[in-house]
Amino acid sequence: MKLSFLKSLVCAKFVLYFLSSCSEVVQDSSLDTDTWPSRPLRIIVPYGAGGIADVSLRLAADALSQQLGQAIVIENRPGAGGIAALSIMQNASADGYTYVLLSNGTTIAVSQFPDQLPPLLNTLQPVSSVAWFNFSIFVNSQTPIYSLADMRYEADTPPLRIGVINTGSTQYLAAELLRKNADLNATLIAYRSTPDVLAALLRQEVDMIIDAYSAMKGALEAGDLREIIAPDFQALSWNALYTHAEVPVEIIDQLRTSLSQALLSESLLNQYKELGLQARTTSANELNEQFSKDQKQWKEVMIEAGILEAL
Amino acid sequence: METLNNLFLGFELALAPEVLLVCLVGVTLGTFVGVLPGVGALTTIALCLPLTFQMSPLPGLVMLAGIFYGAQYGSSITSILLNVPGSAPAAMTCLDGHPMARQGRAGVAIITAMISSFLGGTLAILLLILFAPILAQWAVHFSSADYFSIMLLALVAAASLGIGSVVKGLIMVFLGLLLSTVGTDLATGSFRYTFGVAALSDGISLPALAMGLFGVAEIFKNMVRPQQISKKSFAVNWRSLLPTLEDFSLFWRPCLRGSAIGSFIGMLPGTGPTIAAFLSYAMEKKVSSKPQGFGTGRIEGVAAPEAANNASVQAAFIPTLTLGIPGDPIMAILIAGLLIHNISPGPQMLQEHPDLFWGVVASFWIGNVILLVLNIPFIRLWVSVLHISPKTLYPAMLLLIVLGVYSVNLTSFDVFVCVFFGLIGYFLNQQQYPTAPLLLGFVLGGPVEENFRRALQLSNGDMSIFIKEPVSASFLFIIIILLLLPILSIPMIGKKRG
Repeated sequence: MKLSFLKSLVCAKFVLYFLSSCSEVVQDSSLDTDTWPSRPLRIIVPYGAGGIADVSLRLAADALSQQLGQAIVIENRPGAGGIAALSIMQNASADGYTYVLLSNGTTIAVSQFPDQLPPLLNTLQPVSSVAWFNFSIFVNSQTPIYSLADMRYEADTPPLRIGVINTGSTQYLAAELLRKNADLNATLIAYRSTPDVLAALLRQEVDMIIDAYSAMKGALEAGDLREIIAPDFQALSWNALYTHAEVPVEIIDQLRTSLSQALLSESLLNQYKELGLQARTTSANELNEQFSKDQKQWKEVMIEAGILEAL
Repeated sequence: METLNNLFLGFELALAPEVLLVCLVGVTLGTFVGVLPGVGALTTIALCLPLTFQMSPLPGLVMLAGIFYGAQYGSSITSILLNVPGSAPAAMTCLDGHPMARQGRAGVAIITAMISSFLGGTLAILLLILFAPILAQWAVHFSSADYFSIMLLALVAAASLGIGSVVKGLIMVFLGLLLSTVGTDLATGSFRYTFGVAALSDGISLPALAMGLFGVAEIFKNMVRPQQISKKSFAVNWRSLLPTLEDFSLFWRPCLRGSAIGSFIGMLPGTGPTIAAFLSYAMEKKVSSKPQGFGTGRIEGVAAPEAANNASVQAAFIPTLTLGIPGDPIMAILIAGLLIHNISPGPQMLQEHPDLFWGVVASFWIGNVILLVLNIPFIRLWVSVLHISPKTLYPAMLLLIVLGVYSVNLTSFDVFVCVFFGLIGYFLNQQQYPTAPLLLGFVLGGPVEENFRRALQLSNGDMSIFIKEPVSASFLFIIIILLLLPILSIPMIGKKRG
């Protein structure tokens, strides 16, 4: 009796562990582009479950799996600027069944981990982008700020307080860029998470925040927040599928076509619209250009802000 | 009246067969992951998130939430029986729960933990039903300076935890604070003490540290010198498992205080059950007439933290559901589950989806009842774990801990961290240094530092911000009193002796 109890403990633990890594168990070394996909696909996400990058991919993966007629397993491997996720990608075989999600966040992490990330990224090739959105500027609706011009006026004294998530995030660097381009007298205040940023704006600890629309939707609908439209402010966020560089181009093309079809699904487009996202596929070239453009821009911002030492 | 009608609607929805079934599945799964050391609610909920996409929003949320609070019930069981916490918040339950088990009162300790969790949960759910929107508005107005003072109070209380001298306690708190500085600095983005190890850029993993210090260290201790557990714990008759009336009279007050502290801490985004459990344990020690007895198997030391951690988990739904502000990563996943269904939690949710809000709230209470009813008959089974020979038990526990710690971030680095802190914990125990203050220093270090720096950034470096804000000022005042009390009471003790 006592042993069977222990066994059940061990079993339960293994079931949990198994669930998280079941796709690793199924490894097929044969490579047949004609029958692809003949088993479930696996996408490794370098972020925790629940963020906008994760949610947008899960929605798209759902539509894509209907298109391909195969299940898609999503694995969250957060941490260390995506190194953990990319290491798994590197160890997976180049058979077109394992993919990794990269995003604008990766273009920043490349500069933060110059020794570890570039070698990992060199083994990859782009497939296509999935979701695009712009970060927005929000103010508390009780403040008389309606445009960037109002902020400049307000900003005479004391400095404007801009709330953003941790230093090194796209939001933080976008705020740095805004401060410079719009010539704002502003202090950036860093918070641990997007909900903390929202709470800070609600109690007016900060004057404005920069973050994704989806997290602010509830407060916006309640009339607690106001979105500020600023034509010269742009902080593009995107995520895209990448895979092993040696995966045959036929598979990549087929996947990109299926993804474009999947992203046309009406229910997906509705869900994306509600979250303020845009569904769009891209060619490999376009993605490469976007990546290097972002990498260059954010590196400059980081050096100017003193986050990164100029090399 | 309207609230009552809404509540009836909620119970009607929550008692629907489908919802009741997923609630049962959720809390049972939660109890199991709670019992298994190292496997936390976060990993399990993240794994179960995709399952909810195919469900309608209410059962999906009910199931995920059930795992979260079910784990609070389960995690006390291994703390009590084996001195190995099922998860970080249950580390406090080890302090008195395990000594109780060694005195042959394992059943009493487990029942106390269950009843306390139930009462704590119930109080927090009542607050959620009656005052959720008001409380959420109130909680969100706590500023960075207020957070700093509240966390500082917890830190001061930390030094008095565990057995041993206050000086040793303070050393451990500072060690914990130092460890918390490893990782990326929030304010400047630079890496601190990472020594070029990319895995350290996110800091030391809390589950790895907690399971190492408490779980692995305990296993090492038992491998070196096997301990005898009183034969009384093998008693099979129900009588000896149940708390006596005297026990009840001892633990109902700590239980209420723990529930209150837990509800308060839970409402504040960014705190969590670990801090709630620590604070309530420290509180009991302060208000007790015999504080030196804590750590030797006092029933109050089990009741208070268990009531607090479950209350805080339930209270965390207050800002999550009414403002759309999730207090921790688990709540963020629950919100993602709703976002997938095009529901954005926020002030409008009560009006737009009253069925969802009230259904979930009702299911919480039903889930807590299920947990209480489900677990009490199992207590004899749990206690029978003590029959397993140490030669079988401890290697199996070690395996479970390693798998659990690995499952959080899926990196083998965390396993090394865990074993490293197991060795540290073993030597600290040998030298009579309490490890609980170290854990609390580690948990609080990040928030204390961040909020301190942020408050000064907001005030342009003006230190007076901490006394200008009334909440912050009152907590600082309490800290000063706490620090002065021992100094003031020394002459009094002297007089008594004289």
